[in-house]
Amino acid sequence: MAKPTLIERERTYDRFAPHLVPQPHWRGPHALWFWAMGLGAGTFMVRHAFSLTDTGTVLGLSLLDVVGLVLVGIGGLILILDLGRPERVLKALKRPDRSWIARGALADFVFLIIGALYLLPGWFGALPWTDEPFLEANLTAQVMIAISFAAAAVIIAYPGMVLYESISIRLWHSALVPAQFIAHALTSSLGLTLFVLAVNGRLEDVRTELGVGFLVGLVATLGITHMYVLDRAHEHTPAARAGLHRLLRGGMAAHFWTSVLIGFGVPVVLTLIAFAATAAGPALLAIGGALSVAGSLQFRYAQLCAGVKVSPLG
Amino acid sequence: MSKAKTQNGARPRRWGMVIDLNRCIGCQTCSVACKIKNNLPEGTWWNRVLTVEGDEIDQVGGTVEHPTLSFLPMACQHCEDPACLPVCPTGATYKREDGIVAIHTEDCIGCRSCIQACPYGVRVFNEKPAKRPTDHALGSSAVTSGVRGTVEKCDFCMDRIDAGALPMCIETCPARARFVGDLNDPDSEVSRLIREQGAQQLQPEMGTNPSVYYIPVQRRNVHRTGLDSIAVEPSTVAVGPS
Repeated sequence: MAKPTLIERERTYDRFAPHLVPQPHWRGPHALWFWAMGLGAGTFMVRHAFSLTDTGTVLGLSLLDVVGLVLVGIGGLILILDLGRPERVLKALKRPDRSWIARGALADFVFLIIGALYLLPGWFGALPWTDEPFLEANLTAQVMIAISFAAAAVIIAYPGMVLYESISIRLWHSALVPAQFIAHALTSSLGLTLFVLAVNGRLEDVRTELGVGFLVGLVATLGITHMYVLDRAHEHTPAARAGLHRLLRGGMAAHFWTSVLIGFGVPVVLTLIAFAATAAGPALLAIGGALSVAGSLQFRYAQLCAGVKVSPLG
Repeated sequence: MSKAKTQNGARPRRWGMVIDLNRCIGCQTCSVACKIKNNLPEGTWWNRVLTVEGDEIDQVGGTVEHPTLSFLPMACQHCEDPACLPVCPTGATYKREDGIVAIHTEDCIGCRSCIQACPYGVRVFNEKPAKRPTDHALGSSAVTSGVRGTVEKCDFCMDRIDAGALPMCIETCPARARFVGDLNDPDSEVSRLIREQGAQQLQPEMGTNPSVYYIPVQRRNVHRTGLDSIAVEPSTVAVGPS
């Protein structure tokens, strides 16, 4: 019996697979949401991980904590407004046992509720918990900070898990995506911290440790991004190939390469110069930090919009 | 058509469908029947029939001398391990014991994570208020469709199945190209067709184990310039575009 020809061997899904379309649902607002939440939660984590106490104050509270809380709040607001049915948002808390969106929503609420309790006395003066729970040496405060820290860790990781679980969009379906989200959030948060402290004139005491942390973060994030690109290049599905092409050479290439340049390349150079140039050091670190924050947003936008799925129906 | 067990009582019933692509004539009767039965608004289709021969969607293929034309009916694949299920934060997407994957519309928040996860692109997001061609509802009152801000899709006509009737797309198919039955029953017609006709699932590499199978078009008499004489080992055929 003659061997089958190529056309005879063609399977149903061979005809289906070539139809690739860019995903149309998660674009600008989602990029802003991922970025703001990662940055806000990351800034809170950086502030406590580096024990930064002298960061400037707003309403009697640590400026960095307030910045972090406001950013997470903005991210949460974008998340809610982007839902098809925003009034049903509380239903998103129903299935934390299986959905990363539910886990993330729960973490957002926990973070924001504790943060609001923290902020209210600053606005309304004496409240029953004004002094007791939020004196940082207090045990209650320590517990709440620990809970907030855990919630912040979930907040910076869960968007990456959400993308990873979108199995039809092969560009996102890499175990390195959650790692990348964590690295991006922490590095850009270090950048924001450097910027805020430099602008407030409070960078000098912690300049070296924050600067080294920022440099390590930049290099680690760049390394993870590089490994992620290699990982996707080794997945030989049409959707992965098309998505990677769109990210590196196609419609999103300008955004991607600009994000690499301003989010990593320039900040690395500026940070290295800052270690040598004493007088201009804080200014250089502030610029580098601000650029990494901007680059992080642009990277997330590029990665989301480069997502391509196999689907004739869009 | 009881829901619980197969005739031999061994495994729970799992509804599945087989579509014979040799019989499908691309008439879209199933699409229209689905649309009417489920009272779908303008622009929304839970079932579509695609023309899949060309390099782009909805094109014929082949050559001028040997044009080719075949069709691929597409609707929810009611996967055994649906990618849409674990990503749903509210539990709006659920799977019944009989394998049908459905949506509680009243629980859907419109996050669209299920759309991003579905490898078949069959879920529809109602971005705008539903606009219907008639001022009165059509079809089954048991179906909710067109609710703004929510996601919807084919539910295998579960209201009809539960009542002992066939899904509307099968009932109306003039070519008798569709078959429904219990995939867990080795004696069912769908199991026999899968076994004997070499029916295939779409994108099996996604690991979702769809419950919809397609009997591929027999291409013994099809010729396409440049490909006719290329004999290959089955293992050398690549998935996706060459």
